Amino acid sequence: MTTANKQVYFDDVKVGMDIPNLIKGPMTQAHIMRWSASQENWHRIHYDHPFSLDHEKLPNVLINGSWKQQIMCQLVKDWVGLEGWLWKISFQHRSMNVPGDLITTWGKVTDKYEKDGMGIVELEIGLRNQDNVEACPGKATAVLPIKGGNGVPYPFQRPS
Amino acid sequence: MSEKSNITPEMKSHIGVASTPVESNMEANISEHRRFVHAIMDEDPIYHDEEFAKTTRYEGIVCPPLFPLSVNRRPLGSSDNLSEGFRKNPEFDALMSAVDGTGAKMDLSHIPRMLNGGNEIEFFKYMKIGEKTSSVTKVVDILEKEGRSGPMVFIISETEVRNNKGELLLISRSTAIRR
Repeated sequence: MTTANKQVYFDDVKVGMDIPNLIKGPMTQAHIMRWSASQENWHRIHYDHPFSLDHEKLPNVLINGSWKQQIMCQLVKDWVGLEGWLWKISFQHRSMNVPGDLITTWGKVTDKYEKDGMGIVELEIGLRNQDNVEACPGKATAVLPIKGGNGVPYPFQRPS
Repeated sequence: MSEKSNITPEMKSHIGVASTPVESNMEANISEHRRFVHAIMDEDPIYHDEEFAKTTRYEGIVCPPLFPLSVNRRPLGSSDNLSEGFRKNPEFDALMSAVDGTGAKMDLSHIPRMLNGGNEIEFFKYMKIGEKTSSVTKVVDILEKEGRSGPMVFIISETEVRNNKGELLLISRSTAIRR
């Protein structure tokens, strides 16, 4: 799944429908290290096992919240496609994720409406592990093209 | 119940005042972008296929949506804060705040405990290789609520991130809870 998939249109969206899940993993310590290194994030809870357990009393080293944020954005970006736009995203960090986790991000349409010729879609989103533990409950606002309409502006401009 | 507000006149004076723009010390370069994209495991051709990306309305490859928040890095020649941290404390957790310098400098020593009260990002444009960022932060509002463990202060701030052409890339709104 990437933005280069078949374009989804506002007209095809129904309230209550699920958007395609985005799955990553199973995640390993090496994947965590790769993200941390790319961010020059040397926080020991992401790679130092004895420190995480003995000093910070954590169950394991942790998958970065900042990495989960990227994946949540990708979920919506991929769904809206090249002609749509991920406008807004917000979510909480409710639960820890650790090596071994199979990460599934998901989204459900909660509302849709037209404004200034744009198709606005409200989504409930989240990120679960293989045991269905929800780690990142939140919401996103996507903007989709309307069939026969003017398209979604890029750079994006908020509806008035 | 608290008899007086924890929101000082000094804190109030920060509401609505924009910081001076903070320029990123790095531009978005292809190698940082490459490592970022590898780590998020996103095979989207708009990140790597220039020929394809040129056919889209982005007119060439773009960086991932949140990339503008990752271009401020420790500059060459700056002091080694990692080694300094361990010199001061062998149990140092190596958690170092990103080099952003955008936060409003207000005295919060009377409410030292901090919780992350959440964050919302609003996107406008993708960053491109070669661009720098310029960020302006302002405190939008400060509210006080009575929590279970006493009074809590909510500081809502907003950071606008633009590229060096002045185009708005994203706005990050976050709430810090202090008590």
